[in-house]
Amino acid sequence: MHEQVAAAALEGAAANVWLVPLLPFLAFLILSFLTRPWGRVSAAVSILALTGSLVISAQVFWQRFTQGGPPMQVALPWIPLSPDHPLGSIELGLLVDNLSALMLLMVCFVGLCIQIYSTAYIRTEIAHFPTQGSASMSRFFGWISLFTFSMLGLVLSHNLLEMYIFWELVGLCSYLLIGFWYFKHSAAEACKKAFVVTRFGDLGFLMGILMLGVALEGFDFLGLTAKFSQGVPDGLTAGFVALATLLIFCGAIGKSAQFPLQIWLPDAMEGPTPVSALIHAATMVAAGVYLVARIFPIFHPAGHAGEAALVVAWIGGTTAFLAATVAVVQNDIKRVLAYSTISQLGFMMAGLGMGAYTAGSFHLITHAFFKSLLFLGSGAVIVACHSNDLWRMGGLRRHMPFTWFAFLMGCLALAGVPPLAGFWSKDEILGYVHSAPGGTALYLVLTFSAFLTAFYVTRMYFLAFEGPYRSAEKAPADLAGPVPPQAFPAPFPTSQALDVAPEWTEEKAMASGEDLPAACRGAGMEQVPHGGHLPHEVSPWMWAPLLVLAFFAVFLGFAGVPTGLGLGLPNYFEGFIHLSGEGHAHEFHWTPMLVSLVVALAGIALGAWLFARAPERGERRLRAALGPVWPLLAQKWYLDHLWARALAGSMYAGARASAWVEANLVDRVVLSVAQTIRNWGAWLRAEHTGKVQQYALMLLLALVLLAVGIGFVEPGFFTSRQYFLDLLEGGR
Amino acid sequence: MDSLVTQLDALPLLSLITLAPLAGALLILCLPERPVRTIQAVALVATGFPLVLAGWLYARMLAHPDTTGFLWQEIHPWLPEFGVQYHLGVDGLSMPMVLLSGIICFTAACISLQIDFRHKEYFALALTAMTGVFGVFTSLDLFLLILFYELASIPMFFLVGIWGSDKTGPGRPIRRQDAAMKLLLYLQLGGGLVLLGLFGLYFLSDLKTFDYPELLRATLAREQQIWLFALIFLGFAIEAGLVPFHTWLPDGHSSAPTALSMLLAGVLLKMGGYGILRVAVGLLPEGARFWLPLIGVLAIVNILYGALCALRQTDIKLMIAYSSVSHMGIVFLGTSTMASPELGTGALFGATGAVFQMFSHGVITALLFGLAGTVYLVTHSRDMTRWGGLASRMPWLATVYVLAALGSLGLPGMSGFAAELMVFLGTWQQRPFLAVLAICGLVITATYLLRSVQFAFYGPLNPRHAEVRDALPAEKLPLGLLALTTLAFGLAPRLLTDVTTPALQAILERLVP
Repeated sequence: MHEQVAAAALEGAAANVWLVPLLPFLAFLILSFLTRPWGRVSAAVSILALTGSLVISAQVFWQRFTQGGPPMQVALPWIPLSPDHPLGSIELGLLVDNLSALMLLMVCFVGLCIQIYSTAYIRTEIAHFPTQGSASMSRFFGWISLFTFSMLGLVLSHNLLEMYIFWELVGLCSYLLIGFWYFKHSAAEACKKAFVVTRFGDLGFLMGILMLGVALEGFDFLGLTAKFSQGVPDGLTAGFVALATLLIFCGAIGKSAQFPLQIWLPDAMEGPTPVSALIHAATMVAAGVYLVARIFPIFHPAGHAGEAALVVAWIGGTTAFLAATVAVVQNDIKRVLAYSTISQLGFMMAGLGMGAYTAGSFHLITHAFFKSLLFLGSGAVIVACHSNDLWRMGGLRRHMPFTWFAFLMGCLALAGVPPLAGFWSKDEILGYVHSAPGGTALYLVLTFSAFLTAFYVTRMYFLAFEGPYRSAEKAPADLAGPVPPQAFPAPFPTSQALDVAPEWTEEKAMASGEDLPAACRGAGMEQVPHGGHLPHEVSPWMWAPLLVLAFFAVFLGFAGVPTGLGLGLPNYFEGFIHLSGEGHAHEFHWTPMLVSLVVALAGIALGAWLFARAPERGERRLRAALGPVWPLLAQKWYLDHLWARALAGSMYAGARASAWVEANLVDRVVLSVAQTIRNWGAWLRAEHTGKVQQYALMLLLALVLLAVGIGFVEPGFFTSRQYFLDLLEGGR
Repeated sequence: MDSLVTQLDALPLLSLITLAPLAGALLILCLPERPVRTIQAVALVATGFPLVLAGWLYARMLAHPDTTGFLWQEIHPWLPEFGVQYHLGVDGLSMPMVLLSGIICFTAACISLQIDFRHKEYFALALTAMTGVFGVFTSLDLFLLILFYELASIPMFFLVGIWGSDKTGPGRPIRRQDAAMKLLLYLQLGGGLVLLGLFGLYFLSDLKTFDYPELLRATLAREQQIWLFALIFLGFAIEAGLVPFHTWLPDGHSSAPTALSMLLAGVLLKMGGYGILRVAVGLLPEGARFWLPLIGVLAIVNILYGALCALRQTDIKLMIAYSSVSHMGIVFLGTSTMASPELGTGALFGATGAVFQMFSHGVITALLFGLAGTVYLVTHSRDMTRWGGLASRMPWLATVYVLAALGSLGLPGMSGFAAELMVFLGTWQQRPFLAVLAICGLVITATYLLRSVQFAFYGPLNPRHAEVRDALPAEKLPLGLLALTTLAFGLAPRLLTDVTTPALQAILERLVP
């Protein structure tokens, strides 16, 4: 921890950077203890605090952008046991470099948009639950503030252990917020699943941290990465480093919902929609990608991809492909977006694994903007239509013009249409992978995923916004509803079925005729009676943030236009975020850019052809064309069931085995010992007959036996008085 | 100000801490059965006073982190012909335990206000046990220590047997009388083994004394140390819940009345852990170096086996009890790193983590038991599958339970995380494979605790409990105090490590070959 690294102290605006996470944390405390009964005051406090953070982080960003210079850091001992020793204390600190400054700005900005949106949105959800009052609003904003604090702390972390601390706190906040409507059975199950599944990844993360940190005698990022600038450090083998980095990457797999731990993210939809936006864009899932970017030099010692990097790239590619395919068949608008998030994170990981540090980070930033836009937009749509089901929407373009426009921009950005943000960043990744040695196969996978992305985005857009408004009554019965439908039963039990069930369940509650709020039932796909109103914009508080985000979804890409394109724009992003030793200089190629343009347009064209005019017919055609693949996709490649079986199943099997051992071996031995002693007692009790003569006889016998015994071992006993005295003295 | 401190130091401070509950017990015996409030008030004062005093001494120790050796010693001859003295004193190892005892005893006394029959006997017995608990941590004479140990364990038999609760519902039923008997027998077995070991120490060391600082000078052959360590360790380990000698723990802890569960899990287990560190490791370095590597393996069994058993429970108190088995494994694991103090900082981290875990687990588990007992009081069931959705009716209890569960599963910001992190960091430096296995326990821990949150507090409200109440102010005070303690020590672990480091370094120095 006392590595000599070129790092400066915090100066200028950066000297205030500690306020950036602190303000939301203070807001959390105020909301929890002071303003709890007044929801609107809480919202104002929370927004005010985050605005303060945004201003400071903008100053820090501007300082880094204009002045540059070496990374700045400060560290304080948190647990100093033996400060003289390199591994003798655990430190907490702040690290401000270009990457963290940019992330700070992104998290604060997107977080602020989400919070402003939530002021209007959360009231519509609270309205569903008559028992929930203003305190729910305070609770919501308090936890959102805590979430923001954790993410900002994670971004500013100075060493791996500190990052692990905030990493877990981010996990905690997602647990709280996914289970925000705690009385919904599905929410209660989803939040537990999210925490436990990501914790599987965190096991690896902690092991990796300890493995690397103990071997290199230090945990701080600058010191660690500096050791890898000239290749793998002396004394370590490449295999050791690969294992350690892969273990650390396990954490990223969990948090960023990469294959095979992606199963928690779609269920995380149970939280209120702004939470989904926060999780999917600015905070939770971004953490994994940020981690990989932060320790990028360890994955690529001396600028060459290590063994672990290739695994990262392929896990990213696999995830991008699998999630994109599943997104094609979803009916729930939030689930489409959830799988698209997983898929896009896969793109980022693939890029980072192949060495595209700049491109991966760029996509992380642009994705944060357009994905939060899409989620917030879907929230507005859900509120307006009272349903998550795409088949119960339609025609919203005319009813919700602002939302429509913003959402369309988000869709185009996600689909990769130039010149929107998503095009530039995704193309950077694809271009890099294309030109990287050995990247051809991955490039093909990613390109196909990009095609699927354009296709499912188009499907979602047309189902929701074009055509006539279908409403619940006119929704096609054979297409609408949850995916997978009842016709495809699960082959294996899910985690809930492996355990005991609570006595009181939602089914029983409904059977008893209890008046549960409609949103309590199932996965929120039910229709609330609508009163025949047409959908309409809910509130300017909701569409205004959408338009702001849409602005960035459209124009942010210009910050990272490749210089080789000849547009005359400098590549600001690459100038700001790059590594001194970043791999082979990325040259600009026209081929991949044209290919991704063609692919995006092809996906959109196919989607439009199927869904623009008669979406019902298009969907039936799609399902027919997919044939046996459709149920496979609808069941998410059966991965959920497989993993529920493998992870939860093995854990519960272990629990059953342990309980059996406990009852039948450990406790039985104890009980049989006790029983034996009791039997002796019963035998001795038989001697207690109460006959005095018998007692006297026994006493006499015992004395004789004792005397004979002692006389046998100690012949002097009966003859020498001195012996007796010696014996007594000897006891002293 | 200084003169006041000097004057106060002239008082027998540790005796005041240790004997205050006993004085309270004697006073209660002289009081009439009614009014109950007088008895309760005496109990609160008799436990609140040691807490304040212990907190003050702790703060003074924290303010001077460099002090080594035993402070506030009191020596009075007692049985000189046997080398037994009344010798009290604290150092950085025992002071946190005294503070922990103060916190747990006071909060347990507050929760004991829930007791609704035979108050006089209950409080007299409970306060007597509390004096035993304090005495174990303050005495520097090992004979006195074992005496206090008996004083702490024997009243438990009556307290569990009379005021406890039976386990019904799915699985094996547990009667409280059986549980009390099992608890007493195991604790006596443990105490007997320790006593045997202490007699060995007494006779073999040629010093003919039970005085701890004297015994530190004893020179024993390696073989003798190995045998004595085995006896003393096993005795204390039974009390600390070492698998497979742990079965008294789930039965006893779950059957005990709420406050006694808090006391048992909060401090009685820690008497075992403390005894191992203080007596076994502290006095028998050669024996420790021989046995500690094996103990590391046993610790892993504790961690994983306890967690898996907890995952199987639907009775919430049994689940918490098995989680204690699992968490005490962390203490054993941390202790086992002391086998190689010459290698880096692993042993220091491991030992500090072990002490930290004792403190943290004491607070968190007492909190969990307090919460579970309070909910049991209004739902009349310990089976969490029959609770369901209670957060809607008892938001305060639900919030604190979630907090406690998160603390127990090692969430950063709470004391459990700092403890586990230190133990893992220490273990990894010596035996990474053991650390890997121990880390795997984390996910099981998370599963059973969040599962309990889901069963008990989340989900739709079970109509069986439509009319239950939330916590009363008298319950919020102790539970809130425990929650704040775990947060404070989790956010600023130096509150504890600054006190323990010198004492642990002194022990570790003796272990270097």
